[in-house]
Amino acid sequence: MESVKLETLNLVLNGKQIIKDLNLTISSGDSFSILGESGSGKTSILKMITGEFTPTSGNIFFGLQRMNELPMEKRDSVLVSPEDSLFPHMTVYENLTFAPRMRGMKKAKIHEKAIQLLDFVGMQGFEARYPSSLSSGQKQRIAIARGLMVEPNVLLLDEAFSNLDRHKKKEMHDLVHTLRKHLCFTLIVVTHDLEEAIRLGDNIGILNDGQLLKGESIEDLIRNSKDAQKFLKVYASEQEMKIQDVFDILKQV
Amino acid sequence: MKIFASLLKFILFPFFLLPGLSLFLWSYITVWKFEDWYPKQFSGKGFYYFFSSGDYKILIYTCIFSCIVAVVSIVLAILASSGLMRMNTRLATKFEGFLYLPLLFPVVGICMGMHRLFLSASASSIINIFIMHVYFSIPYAFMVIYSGYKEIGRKWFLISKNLGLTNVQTLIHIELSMIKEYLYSAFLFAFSVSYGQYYINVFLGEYEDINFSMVIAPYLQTSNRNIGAVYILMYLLMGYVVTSFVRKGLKKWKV
Repeated sequence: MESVKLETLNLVLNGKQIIKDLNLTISSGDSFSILGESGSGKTSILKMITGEFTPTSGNIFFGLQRMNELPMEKRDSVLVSPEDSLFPHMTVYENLTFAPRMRGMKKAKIHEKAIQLLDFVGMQGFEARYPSSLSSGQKQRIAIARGLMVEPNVLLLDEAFSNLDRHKKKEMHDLVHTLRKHLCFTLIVVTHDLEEAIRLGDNIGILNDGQLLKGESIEDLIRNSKDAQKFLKVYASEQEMKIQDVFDILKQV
Repeated sequence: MKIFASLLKFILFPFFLLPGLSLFLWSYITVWKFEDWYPKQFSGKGFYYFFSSGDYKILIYTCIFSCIVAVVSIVLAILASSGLMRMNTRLATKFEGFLYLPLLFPVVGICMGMHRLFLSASASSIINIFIMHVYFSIPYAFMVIYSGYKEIGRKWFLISKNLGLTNVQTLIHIELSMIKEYLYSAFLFAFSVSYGQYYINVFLGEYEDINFSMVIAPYLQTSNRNIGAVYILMYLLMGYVVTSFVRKGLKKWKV
């Protein structure tokens, strides 16, 4: 069953075309990574999905429901960004339980879910701590747990782990896999890190000049799309890697 | 930095303490002639007069009135600030300018114009005064609260909406909690502006609505310093008590 469907999506901001005729369908429970350079419009796609940006034309569907006119708070998606997003005046537990409480979930259920998610993200015992006393990695764990507390159908990660070192990133990737296995949500990841894109996505797309290049699989995409090959060459030179290293990453992951 | 702050407090403290001390002394002194090193006549008649004349009731009324004005101004300033914060920035800057307009016009000029308008509308003088107090308090409340909103930005609003919170929930539980200190400062400003208003009440009140500034004014012009000092002391004390109470209340307020 389709979870997210983006249909000929276009976005023009300040007279500049950011996204061109974007078509994307993600099945329920699947994950999709969008890889692109900084400023290529990756985040704009997520902002259109959450409702912060209104697409100039095209449709956004969650299942069968058209989302275009639905206000942000009524969409079944949660965005996790790299910046500090935990409410600084609330403890970890309050951060987790606040949104579901406001949405009218039952107290007992909220508590049970908070404990379960804290367990999943390995943050038991941190309930009474304030965000200011947590490390970046711990904050991101709580931010993801908080997002999942409201039981979204779609979790959106916007360069969520870009502030973390390589080792911590890997830990977070494993965590996201564990959470997906248990909670079965659809995941859309936006990143400029090839390794992260491949680790987290069942499939990946490359955003190039506002157009999303995608194939049946990553191998298929690289084999058949010259633009994708060109993008990877540029990516390799920007990351000061040889193109062979990029393919090594692909193989390893 | 800590040494600098302590030094500043040490220097500034006498500036606040000395006038207070002088007022306190004068509230008990009846005569302190020139060339005398210390006062020779003391009396509590100033305090007796303050309580027996019933002027303390006017002080309480003024305080309550100013609190209501401050709260209304803050509510309006919050609505304006949160609205502007959610708007496109270019338009927001223009609207921001409009909200500072009352600061540019002199109180007397506005009051005279409004008096004519209120007379033709035959509105009650208390309502007229209330409207004018709010009109002059809003720019101060707005200035403080909007700077609080600028400090926190749109980030928390978007995060809250993303988590499924409504506008009202975001406003009450997230934004206001984050700008608590600004709320107190805004209250302080709006309350002070209203608490010390003299012209508005004189022009529009037609001596039906008397506030404490109007009661104090004659005593400041007479040679009876004793009563004048008592009245000013009580005026300051009442203001201090109210603002301290509000500060403590805001500190305790938790989502």
